[in-house]
Amino acid sequence: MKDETIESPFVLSGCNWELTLKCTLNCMHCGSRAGSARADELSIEECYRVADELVALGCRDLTMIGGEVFLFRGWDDLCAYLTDNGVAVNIISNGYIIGERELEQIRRSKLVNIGLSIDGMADSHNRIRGRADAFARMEASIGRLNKANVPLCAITSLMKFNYDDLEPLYTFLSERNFTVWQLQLVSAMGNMEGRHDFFITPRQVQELTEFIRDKNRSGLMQVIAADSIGYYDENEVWIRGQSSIISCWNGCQAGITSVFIDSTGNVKGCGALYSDEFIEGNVRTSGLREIWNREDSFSYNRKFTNELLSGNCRGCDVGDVCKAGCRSSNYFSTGSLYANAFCCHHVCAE
Amino acid sequence: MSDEQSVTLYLSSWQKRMILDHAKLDQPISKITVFKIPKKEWVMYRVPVLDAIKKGAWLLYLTDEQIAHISEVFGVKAKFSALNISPEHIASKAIHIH
Repeated sequence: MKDETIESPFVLSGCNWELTLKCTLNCMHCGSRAGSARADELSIEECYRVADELVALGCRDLTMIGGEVFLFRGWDDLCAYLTDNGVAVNIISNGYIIGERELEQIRRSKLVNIGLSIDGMADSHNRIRGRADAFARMEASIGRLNKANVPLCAITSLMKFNYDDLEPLYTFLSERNFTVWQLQLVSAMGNMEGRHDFFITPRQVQELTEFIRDKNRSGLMQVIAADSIGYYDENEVWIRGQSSIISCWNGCQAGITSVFIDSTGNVKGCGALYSDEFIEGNVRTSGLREIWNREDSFSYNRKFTNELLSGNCRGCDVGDVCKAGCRSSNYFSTGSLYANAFCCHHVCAE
Repeated sequence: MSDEQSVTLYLSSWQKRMILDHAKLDQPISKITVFKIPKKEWVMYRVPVLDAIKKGAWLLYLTDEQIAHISEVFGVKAKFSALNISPEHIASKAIHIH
């Protein structure tokens, strides 16, 4: 029988880890429909075993998400444990319940930064969060975090009705010591399934890359495009941060350098691939190393060839490096993993 | 076989001034050599929220000839006009200004 656990040529460097699906809010755009915990979520003891496997695999960057991370008891010590073993960890929070107790956990956790999900100014943010007090509570949390000198990032999910908040939100965030602002597109999944009427247009996505480029020239705060935005228009190298000498999109990294683990231990290449067909295994039954090293894991990316490109991406002159952009965005907008509906390279060519 | 790729760029007068604005150097400079960085790491994309901010990072803007040279050597398909230089690059000698 073939040994399926030989070392993979793919080196894991990043991980998104959903600790719990339990959440203080139930937002209208939530892709995972967070609110209640999943049945049979990993215990803290199981999480430490997963952490050891991540460290052994060479993971360097890890983002803890929920639900709401603060509702998972022991997240702070787990975070500190990973940090002590050489992993840079941050968390994503909705900012709704960050008080003194959470600040103490943050201090203990040794995290690199905390990312807050902010989806616009007060009206938009409150509408998306479904609470009239969400923005005010977020603002109060930011004040506490600033006072405690916690490094801050922001993440904004864009759709039609918060698109016009970009400019005031940039000012709001840069005045409150945010160092990085990540922009992403809302996808037709989870609570947004079938709601294509809420999404911004491909032309607006191209305008968005210009917005990001202009803001990054000013240098007040680094603005970053998430994986669902961009792809080889003239703004490409201005929207990906400064992580390499020439930072630009070089294909979806799901299963190539990064992995996602949900709160029950299911392993996928990316957390935004909200369908069970993308589950590669479960850490309870297989172990992360075995799943990562298995020859047939993450085959949608590891066995990518240009011939798979379809729709707008078929025959594209940058198809071999772009590889059709974000798999999740493609899957939920075009139905194909290899056809992108929001590609700026395509928009510019039209 | 190593996939490391070295590139030496001869500096224009405005590039020399740009470099001296960012790097404390006490000797005359004429070129910048980038080496010891695997070819695939020249042009890549990593977890942005954790890795986007390199403290003290700066941009070295390039001439058209330098852009064409780097594009050819590394097969860069994106339009670019500068290199991201971080203090870690210089401290580790991955980027050498001489």
